[in-house]
Amino acid sequence: MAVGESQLETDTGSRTEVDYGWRHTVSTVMGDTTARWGFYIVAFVFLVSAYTMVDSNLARLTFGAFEDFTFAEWLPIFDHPERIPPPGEGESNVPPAFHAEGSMANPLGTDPAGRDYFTRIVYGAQVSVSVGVVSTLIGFVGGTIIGAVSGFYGGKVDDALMRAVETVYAIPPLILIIVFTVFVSGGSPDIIYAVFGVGIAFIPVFARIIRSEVLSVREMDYIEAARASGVKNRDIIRRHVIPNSFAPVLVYATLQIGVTILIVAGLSFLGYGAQPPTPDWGQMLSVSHGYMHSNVWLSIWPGVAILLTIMGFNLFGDGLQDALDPRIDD
Amino acid sequence: MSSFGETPTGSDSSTAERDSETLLEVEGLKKHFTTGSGLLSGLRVDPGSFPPVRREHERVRAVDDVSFSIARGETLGLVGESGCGKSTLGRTVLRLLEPTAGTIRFDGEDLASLGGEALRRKRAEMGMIFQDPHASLNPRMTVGTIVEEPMVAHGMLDGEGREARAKSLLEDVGLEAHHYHRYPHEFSGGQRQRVNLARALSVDPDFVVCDEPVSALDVSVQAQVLNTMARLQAEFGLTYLFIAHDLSVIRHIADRVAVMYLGTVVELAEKEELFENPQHPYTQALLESIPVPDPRESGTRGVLEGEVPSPVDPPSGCRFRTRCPVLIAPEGYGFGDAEWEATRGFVRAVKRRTFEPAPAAEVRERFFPEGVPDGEAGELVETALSLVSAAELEGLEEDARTARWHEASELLLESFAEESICARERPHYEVDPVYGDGEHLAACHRHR
Amino acid sequence: MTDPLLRVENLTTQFFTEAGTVRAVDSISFEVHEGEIVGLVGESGAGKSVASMSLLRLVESPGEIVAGEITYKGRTIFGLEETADGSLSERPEMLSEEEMRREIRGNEIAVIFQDPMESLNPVFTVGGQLREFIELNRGLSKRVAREEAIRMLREVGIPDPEGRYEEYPHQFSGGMRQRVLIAMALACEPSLIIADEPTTALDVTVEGQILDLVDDLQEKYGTSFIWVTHDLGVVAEICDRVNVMYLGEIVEQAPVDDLFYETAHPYTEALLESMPRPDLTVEEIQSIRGVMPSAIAPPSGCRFHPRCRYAREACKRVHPDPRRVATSADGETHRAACLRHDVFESGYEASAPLEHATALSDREVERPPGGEGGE
Repeated sequence: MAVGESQLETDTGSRTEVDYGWRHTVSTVMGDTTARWGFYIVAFVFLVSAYTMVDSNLARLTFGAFEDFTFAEWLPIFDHPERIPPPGEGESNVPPAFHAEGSMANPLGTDPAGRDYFTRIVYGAQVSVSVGVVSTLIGFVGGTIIGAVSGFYGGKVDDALMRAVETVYAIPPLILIIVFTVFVSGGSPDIIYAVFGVGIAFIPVFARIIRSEVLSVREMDYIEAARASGVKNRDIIRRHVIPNSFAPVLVYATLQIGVTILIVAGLSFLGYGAQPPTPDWGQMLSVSHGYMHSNVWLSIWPGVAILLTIMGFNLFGDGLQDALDPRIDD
Repeated sequence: MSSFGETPTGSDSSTAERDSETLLEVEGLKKHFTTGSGLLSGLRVDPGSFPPVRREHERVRAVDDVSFSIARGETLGLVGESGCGKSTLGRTVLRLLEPTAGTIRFDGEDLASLGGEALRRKRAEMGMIFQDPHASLNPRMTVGTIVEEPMVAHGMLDGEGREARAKSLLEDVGLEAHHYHRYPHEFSGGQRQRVNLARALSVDPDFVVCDEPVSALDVSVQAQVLNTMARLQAEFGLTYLFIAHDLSVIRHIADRVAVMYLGTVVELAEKEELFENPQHPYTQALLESIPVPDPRESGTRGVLEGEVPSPVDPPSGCRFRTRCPVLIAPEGYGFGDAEWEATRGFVRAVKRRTFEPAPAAEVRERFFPEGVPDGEAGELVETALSLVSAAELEGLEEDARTARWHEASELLLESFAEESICARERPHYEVDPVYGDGEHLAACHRHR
Repeated sequence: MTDPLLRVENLTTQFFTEAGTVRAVDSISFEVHEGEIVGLVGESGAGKSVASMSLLRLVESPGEIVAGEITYKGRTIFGLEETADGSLSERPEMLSEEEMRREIRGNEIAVIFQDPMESLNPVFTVGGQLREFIELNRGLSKRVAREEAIRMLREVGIPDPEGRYEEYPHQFSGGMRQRVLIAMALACEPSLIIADEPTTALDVTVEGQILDLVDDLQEKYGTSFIWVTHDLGVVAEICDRVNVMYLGEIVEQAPVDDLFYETAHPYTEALLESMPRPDLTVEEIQSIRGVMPSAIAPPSGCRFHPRCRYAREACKRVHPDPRRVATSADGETHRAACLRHDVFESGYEASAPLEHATALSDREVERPPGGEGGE
């Protein structure tokens, strides 16, 4: 309606209004070259890990009526990444294809056990993405609940929760995670414990970010307006506080996925995370460091994979920050 | 202060049809804030006592013993400068803040004693409009959702009914139904205040607290919103508590006016009476300070000196006495009017250190051209004069000088200002109105 | 009359934004004489602050002064000339950025802002900041500058100036901070002070104190002021001459008494009518219909015509510039940019009234929902 439109052109052009829509966020992220590349890398890593799930599960299935049909005909199928070839079948420590001694059969070469390194790197994406997403989610959800409750109610609730959070915060995260892993796993560490350990260790960080956001949002008049209208506290937190405190935490979470991947890789390297034969990049680094001199490629490929993935999340997170932060938007 | 809230009897001079039934009655309401809330805040270490650690908090007396009442359908204007506690009062009346003491009888029920779910349900009968049109609407919700939220909270109507009502409310407040799907940032300040109005009215409340609803708007838009508010009051039968710092706006919209200063109501009267026959020196000063949009009316301005004292430790007796231009002379010294005037000027100058050190004779001549008062008062003045004379201050360090000024100021204040009735008793008087026949309360000892 | 202290001619400042070119200040002209207080009045978005900042060449990107001439005491603050190839370039006598900084800003023309907290550094003491300012700008020794700073603080009515010299800005109330800024503005005894809504954030009694102070100081130092405000009450109290701005343009220019009593522009008239009065009980105030349109695409003809109750067909076509419509008793010129005045000879009388104007002149108070203007 033309009339309505002209009415809305009221604020002078000197002040730019903030647009909160998703469309705006997406266009801002995609409009920034760096953020766009971040997004491409993140999307690529996700696609690769999604494909490995298809590969490891669906591809080998057959369907009753279509017994002749298998995904294997349509898709390139990898060897099982953990299967150690029987003696004589695979050669160990083959260098990558571009090397004089390499071959296209193993584009990135093979590991000391003779497994195709390319397959293991590709499957490593699945492990890393799951690790990053799951442990960040644990920290994110736990932190959001604690932080939102603490910031919104204030007073004694806030005191109690924040002192507890600070206690956890005071312990160096790596020590906390290792103790947790060892204690919970009862001496047989596995990646799942590492994921939970990292997630829990980062609850305090998320809680503090959310709390400080909530503290500033809580002072906004629309919260008081909701209270004055008789909206239940639960609904105020859900409908007003969380959506408006969300943006900076979302950015932090995106950056955090990269950090968690790195930490879990570190744990695996130290032997507290993924155990052989899981194709985890950190664990692969751990194995490869004994072969630094004889086959340096074993260390380089997982290193590059970790670097790229984390860079992707960081670039994307930075772009998201610009897109969601109204202050930068002018 | 206890009778500050008697229901005004026969107070409907201008609006004859006004229902004189009392909707809200506030009595002895106090709201004190304690500073700091952390685990260790307020901890004092005092090695001289046992146990050596104590917890104590400063108390900010934001609202201190306020009583008033509002009749159904009336607008009570609440006016005062920043920090006087008017917004706190508005929020405490709605129980958005916990009162420290006092009762808030709304439609016969004491809000101060309601709790939890009962209070939440009661909120369907009350609404609030905020000052800042940018902060009072959730930027991530559409206008429709915002207006419907109170209805959802109170289980009013079904989804379709709510949407229809929200759209009709938007039209009532001067917006359009198709604005339902828009976001707040698409609107100007004045339009956002209209959305605020629609939200406050969505559950059809009886009573609306308006906290400076037009202060952030331009003059021309302000007039539009004020007119809409007046129209809605008639249409919806609303009762307003209208908080503002702008006396012009209050004069336009209110039926009765309460003037607040430092947590207390200093004057309460019908509008015409208050503006045409103000009886409290603070109200008079406020009225005189407003710049009048008329160049031929050369206003007296800057009539008040000094600043509002801290509400942590407010002055005893009359809160306004430290700035009052008509402070009553203490008894016992036998001050004449001119003598008291000169003495007060001198006390204020010493307290505020507004003159450079000079020989005692020079200072005496400047403040007491007619000579210092006789008797005890004169001796005290002389003592103070010599304390801050150039001869005494000569060669002293800055700290020692400051101590001298302090000593002189303490001596004068304690002997004179603190002895006045204004410092010793809380004033509370009823005066006879000149305009209309409503109750006129003025908290000033000149009416004793 | 002698040469004015400041002469502004056809000043145009624009902001180049993504949404389009914002014509924040559009060809305004005015003068400031020695010892007078000139008001610059308008609602938010009128361009009054941008105009005042343009005078010091303090317009920030994406804003730019694109045309006009600003002369201060015979020196060119801004001026363009046409070069041989037809493009515009800065005139050689225009003051350089360095000269502006060293000789004009602070020394000759000082500014007082609305929010004193933004002008004072929170981590230094008030006295220290004032002392340093005096030290740098007047070349005094540290000790003398300190004494001068305390004298200035006392001059602007800060109680116990020796004690408060050592305090930090957050320990001062809003009114006291504004006094400090006035002290700072006066410290170099400038000839002109631009006051940008200096009392808007203050309480009315404090505002009164500040207006009093400005009056006293102006008498004592003979400083000229450009007083930027939206409050016609303050204008009536303090200004000698007034420029009313609407959507980047000056629509009326008059001595203060004429502005209120011989109002010549419908916008000024509407503004005056829309103000609630502290001294009278007005049952219904007349609001101005709609809001100020965007400065990116201002209305054709007279920019006020969509909201004007006297608007006629001619107002949509002809763009009026402020012309002399009367001369006041003491020989001052009264200008207005409204076609209703005879000097325009625009055929206003003969043209048909616009539809909305007919409705408005029927003393319509509320805008009906769905109206054209909106707010």
